[in-house]
Amino acid sequence: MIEFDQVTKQFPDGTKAVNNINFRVKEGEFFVLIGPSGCGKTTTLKMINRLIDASEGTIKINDENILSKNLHKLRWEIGYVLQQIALFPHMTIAENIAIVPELKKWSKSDTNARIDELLEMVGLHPGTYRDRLPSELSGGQQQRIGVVRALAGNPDILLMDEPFSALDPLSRDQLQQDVGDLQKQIKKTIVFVTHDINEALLLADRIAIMQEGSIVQVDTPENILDHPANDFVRSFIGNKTNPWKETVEKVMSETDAPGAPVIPHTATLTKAVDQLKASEKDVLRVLNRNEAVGSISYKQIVHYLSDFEASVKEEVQK
Amino acid sequence: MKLFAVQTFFQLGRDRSDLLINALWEHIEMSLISLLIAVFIAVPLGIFLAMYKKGAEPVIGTTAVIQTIPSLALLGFLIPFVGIGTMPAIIALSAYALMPILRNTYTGVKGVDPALSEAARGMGMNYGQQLMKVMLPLAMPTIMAGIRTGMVLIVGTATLAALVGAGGLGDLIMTGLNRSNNYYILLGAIPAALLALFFDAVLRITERKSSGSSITPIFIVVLAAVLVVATPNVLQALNLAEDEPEEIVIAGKIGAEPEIVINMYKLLIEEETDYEVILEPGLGQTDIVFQALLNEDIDGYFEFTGTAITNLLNEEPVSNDEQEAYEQAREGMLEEFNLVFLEPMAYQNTYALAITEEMAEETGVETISDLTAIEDELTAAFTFEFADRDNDGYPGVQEVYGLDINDVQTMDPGLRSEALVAGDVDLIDAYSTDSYMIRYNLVTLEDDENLFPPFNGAPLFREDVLMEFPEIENILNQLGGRISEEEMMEMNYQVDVEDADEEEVARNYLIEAGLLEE
Repeated sequence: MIEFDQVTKQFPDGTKAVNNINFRVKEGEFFVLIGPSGCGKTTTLKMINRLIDASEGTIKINDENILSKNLHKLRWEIGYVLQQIALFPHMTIAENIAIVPELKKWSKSDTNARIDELLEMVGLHPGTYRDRLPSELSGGQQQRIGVVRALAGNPDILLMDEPFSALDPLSRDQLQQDVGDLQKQIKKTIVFVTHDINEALLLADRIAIMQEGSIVQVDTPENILDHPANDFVRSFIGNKTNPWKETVEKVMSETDAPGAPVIPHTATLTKAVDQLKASEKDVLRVLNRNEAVGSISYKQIVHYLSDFEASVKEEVQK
Repeated sequence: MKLFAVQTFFQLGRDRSDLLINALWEHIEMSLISLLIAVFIAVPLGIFLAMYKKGAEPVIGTTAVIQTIPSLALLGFLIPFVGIGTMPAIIALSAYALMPILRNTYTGVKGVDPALSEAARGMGMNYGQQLMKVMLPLAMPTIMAGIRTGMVLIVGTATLAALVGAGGLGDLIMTGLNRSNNYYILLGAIPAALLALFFDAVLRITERKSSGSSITPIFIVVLAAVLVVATPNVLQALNLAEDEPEEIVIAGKIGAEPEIVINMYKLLIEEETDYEVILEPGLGQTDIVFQALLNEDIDGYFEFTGTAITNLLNEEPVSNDEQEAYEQAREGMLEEFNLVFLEPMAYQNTYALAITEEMAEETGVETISDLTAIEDELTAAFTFEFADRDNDGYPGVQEVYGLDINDVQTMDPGLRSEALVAGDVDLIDAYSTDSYMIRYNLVTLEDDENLFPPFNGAPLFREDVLMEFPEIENILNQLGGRISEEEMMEMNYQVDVEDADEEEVARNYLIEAGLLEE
């Protein structure tokens, strides 16, 4: 979908903000760029919609070099959510959302229908909010509109540049949840910049960790937690454990499940889920040296994982 | 007393309503054109500077420098290049409004949150869309504030445009100053102030209507302004297409006397020929009207022999004999400037030094020489022109009489007689036929050393004009040797003090003299 091939960005003063990076974002993927400030993550993001042009290398979308496309049309097909939210203060909510549809010359009725649809989707009643000005909305509501505005032209790609960092913890928590849900619902390819590792672990399908203009590691959250590429990554992710690597013993209940397929008490949750899928059963009997010590079910695993997520979120809030 | 004053003011407004409406219209037209030009230059320039940032300070600095030039100086400076009338006025007024509009546009556009312009770009707007949908609407309150400031500056400064023949409410104010008539001053100043308030209100309402995503109201107002300005001019242009009689433009300096005399010229020429005479009365002081003649903006004006010799030719008068002085002026003007001085009239409107009757009785001063005895106690008020004229002005007085007055102030001609009567000053320069000589019973001091050259008034025309219209030479020479000092003083008094119409006064004289039929 999006492909960076040996891309370098050098500014006129000689500093290299991005140095020879390569990665691919798959269609429908939630791809997070993360790293400390000044690592080049925002520059990388802005090269996708050409707010910044690469000095060297090529960037392709659907195998087409973005430089060969019309600049404005390229941007119409890439939603953009800013850290500063940046709703136009002199336009109503509906006018803000209608910008890209109008640039794309949609009919009035299509545009209006789209505005209502999107407002409903993020839980803001169109009748109440359409004609309000951005200043009349809370920060969290404003960024919801920011996301909706980016989605209005029905783009294939959504770029989000630290979209929640300006929000209060409560709104941030809620919006992270919503964006996670939204992603599952609308299946857009999302490139998301953050400096917050918990946010990244929570949302990402894959994470690219950047340091001083280079990509240090690109992988799924689990693999990054399990196999950090170097000390920088290790220190960056901090003391995080991967819930899927938790042993069955920690999660199981002590009620026995006679007749169910068996699993050793030191097996991981990943293993347990694989076995549940393979056996097409809901529950497994946990054995410690051939002695039944309890049972583990799908329900318990899901419960444990969601508790873990909640604890991560708590940390985000702190 | 106060009620009486208010009544007098409204009476004057009613009597002079034609004059007022005409002046008001000229004022509106001049202001609107200037404002539109300033907006069309400064707003795009401000946007450009804000987007490219480089060079903004030098450019804005330049407009600030223009702002510091005194308006009258700028107007005078423009005359050699663009002539007299509305043109220099509009250029000067536009230049004055540039700075506030440019600075505010620059500040407004530059002040738009960079995140918003990034959002606009990131959403795929092109430059025009970014400008119209985001930058301009957000910068509009600041830009409008600049336009409003510029507009008030223009409406105020436009009153000075009367001095270069552009007309407007300044005509009424200048007349008032010249005649020491406060009602005329108010008749010009109050509508000017109301006009500024009215324009300001229109702009404020426009601004409020356009707060939102649409800047359409701004365009509607600009369009309306263009229409208001353009319509009469287009109509006039259409009318011009028809055959018009040939035109002769005759001007006069500011004041009742030149205006009466040039009205006589007009009446006589139009009586005996088919030419149309256009008058440009009140065209500032000597420098402006003379420059206008050389520029061919006007064909002729009413000038004095003394002024021609000492001021225009910069010569010493050869004699105090009227006829010899006239010969000197005539030959000089023809040789130096290709201008023809027609035959002068009888009366002399020479410079004189004047004091009040009481002072004359108290001090026994009768001649200019007598003044030296009391020079340490004297305060004088002179016009700028008199204070500056080398040969026949105060410098000449200092040289010839050895007079060194303790305190000399310079002020407008219309104000110095008031200052004398009020007792603020003891001595003024006067024109011997001015109406206030009668009105305030002023005493002129004898020029015992014969410093002031003879000042006989006569028509001064360009040679090429007289070749084109040879008849007017004989027509205007009919006035040669006519009009006594008393007659002129009386006519000035009628206009200045009794507010008689200049044309009527001129006509009455010509009829009495048998030059015009009733």
